[in-house]
Amino acid sequence: MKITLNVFSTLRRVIESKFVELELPRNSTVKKLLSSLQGNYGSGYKNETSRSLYDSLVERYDLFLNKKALLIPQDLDVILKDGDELVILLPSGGG
Amino acid sequence: MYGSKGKLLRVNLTKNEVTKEDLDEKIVKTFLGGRGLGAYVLYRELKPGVDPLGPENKLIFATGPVVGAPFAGNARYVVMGKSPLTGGWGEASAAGWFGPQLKFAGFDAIIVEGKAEKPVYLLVNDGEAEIRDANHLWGKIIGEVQDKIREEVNNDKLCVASIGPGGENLVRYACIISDLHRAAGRCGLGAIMGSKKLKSIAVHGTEGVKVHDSGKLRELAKIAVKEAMDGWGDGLHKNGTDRILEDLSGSGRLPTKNFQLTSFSGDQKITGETMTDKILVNRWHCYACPVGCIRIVKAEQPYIVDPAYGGPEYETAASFGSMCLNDNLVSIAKANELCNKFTIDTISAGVSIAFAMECYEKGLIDEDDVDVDLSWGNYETIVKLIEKIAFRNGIGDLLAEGVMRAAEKLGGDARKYAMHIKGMELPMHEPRGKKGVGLSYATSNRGACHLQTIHDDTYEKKKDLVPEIGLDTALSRYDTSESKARMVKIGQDLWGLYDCMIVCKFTPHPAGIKLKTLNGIFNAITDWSFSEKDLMAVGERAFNLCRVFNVREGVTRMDDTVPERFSEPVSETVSQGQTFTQKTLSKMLDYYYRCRGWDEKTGIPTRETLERLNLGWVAKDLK
Repeated sequence: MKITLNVFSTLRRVIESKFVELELPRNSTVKKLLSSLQGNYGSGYKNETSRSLYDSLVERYDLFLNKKALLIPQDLDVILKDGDELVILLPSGGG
Repeated sequence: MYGSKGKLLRVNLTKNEVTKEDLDEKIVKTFLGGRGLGAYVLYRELKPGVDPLGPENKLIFATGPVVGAPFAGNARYVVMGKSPLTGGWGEASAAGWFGPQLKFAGFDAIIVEGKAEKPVYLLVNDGEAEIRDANHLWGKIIGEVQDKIREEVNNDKLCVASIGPGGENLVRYACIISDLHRAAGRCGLGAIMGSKKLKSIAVHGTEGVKVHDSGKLRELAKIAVKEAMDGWGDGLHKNGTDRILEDLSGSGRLPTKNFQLTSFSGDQKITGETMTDKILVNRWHCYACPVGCIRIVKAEQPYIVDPAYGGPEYETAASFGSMCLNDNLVSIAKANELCNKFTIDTISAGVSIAFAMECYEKGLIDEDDVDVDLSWGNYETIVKLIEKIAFRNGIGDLLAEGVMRAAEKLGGDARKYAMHIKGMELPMHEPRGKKGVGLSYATSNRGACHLQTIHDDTYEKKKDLVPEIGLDTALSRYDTSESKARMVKIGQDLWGLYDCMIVCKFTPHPAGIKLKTLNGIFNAITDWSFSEKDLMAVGERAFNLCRVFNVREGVTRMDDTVPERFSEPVSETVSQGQTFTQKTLSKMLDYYYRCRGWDEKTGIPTRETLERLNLGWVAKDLK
């Protein structure tokens, strides 16, 4: 099934695109998607930031599935459907 | 006393006199410094109804007990006075070296009163102060002024805070700038300085800050550095405050086209990472801080941009960028440079220009009446307008008044496009996407301000909560419940505490340094054994005193509003459908006033609340 990813800033640079279409096996969970991002882009992300991509996605970023905020860790087990869109955003604290 | 110097400098420009005064330890223990000390002095010494641009207004430059002691985030100062923009509490803070140098010179604060007959500057050097002639400096941009003063005093280490033509011409949002690019930006405090004919204050000192337990401080300062860099520090170092622009746009929360939109197609061109790639030449550090969030930029085309004047922060990139539909990064950097040279606030200037562009679009400003093309996105116009505003030329004279007064002059629907609260232009955070910030905009004592409370994003996750001070509930950024109102109040008290100590908001919670560490640092410096509760009470006390200052000037619940524009739903991305209506705000105000211990109908602090905060002595002034 196809999932669309929408990313910004550092992630956009590492993945080299603002929008990415990912192919995942049916019934993949959010966790599977994040692990697959770690697999494909983890070393590029580490080069840029000295941080683990998976850990950053789970701890630092805000994840929105079809425009609704995901709660981590509960929603890591949410099962994705064909055509879902995941937006990954940095929170903004001020300044 | 440890930390504080126990000394104030009072400068009477009418009498041309400088006097040194003792600062009582009791007052410092109650208010610390910064906002608290300034509010205490101004509340007592200013009568209500004073003309902000008249000689009876006062201007205070305040440090705090921890300023100048060696730890990350200790390098700020706060300037205060009755604002020419809002007619109420005026306050702005800045970074760099001025605050520490004032402490090293032997003073906690400077109180400026009266008005000089001719332009003057104040020199403060190792315990002594002198008012000097500045006739030859009046009209000059701040770089020239700094050079000349250092040369004539023969001290190239002098830290100089100045006004440029913006302050001299009483632009209502003129600012005060030190180190050529650190701005006490908002509320028009530069115009107060201009009205007093005070061009600059130059400070230098060699006396360190007395610390109670320097071993303990050293130990905690090391921990603080690690906590700060693990938090926001690393990201701020790399790409500055503007690193958030692209993600704000992506989340439908970037002020765009005068707040008509919330996402900008040109976001990648003006975001922090692009600034780093294209025009960044250096990163600048405040005294004792490893973060280095400050940008130094240089460019040649289409404008020559001088790195001596720093570089754009996020607020500036958005106010001259997305707000005006401008995606030309160098023009934003040029506008920033000119705002610094001429000393006008970049946020208010950008919002004023966006206002003009919308009025032009809607036919309220005729193209025959102006000699600039006010079409959206015209970056040449933006750059031209900075100078026109600073020198009050043509339409610059109208825009120099700020959007509230400009809209009154234009009449018709103009006030719908004037994005201000209590007279101060809105900064670059969307209330529809950060509803706690929306409530804080409405209740901020200096008018619309994004630096009063912790932003909603930072307590969406359980792991970022601080339950010991009541930040105990993870809430969505869009939540408007009683819990959210309570969190806003607690955040205002915490960040208000920072404005009294004074510490930078980019190192302590939520930026990284834990409250426990900061508490330890405070006690290691001062020897006062304050608990976290004691510290939070300082922040709450100062916030309430500033509120009472405003109430005395006539502010009530009616003034705690947000612009009508936010009743329109967001159309972009994950914030789609979100609104921030007067009805929502009204409900949140009910919760908030209850939390604060203020009268729900009027928004006035109750006698009971004032007495609990050791402010019972102001209760007699309130009906």
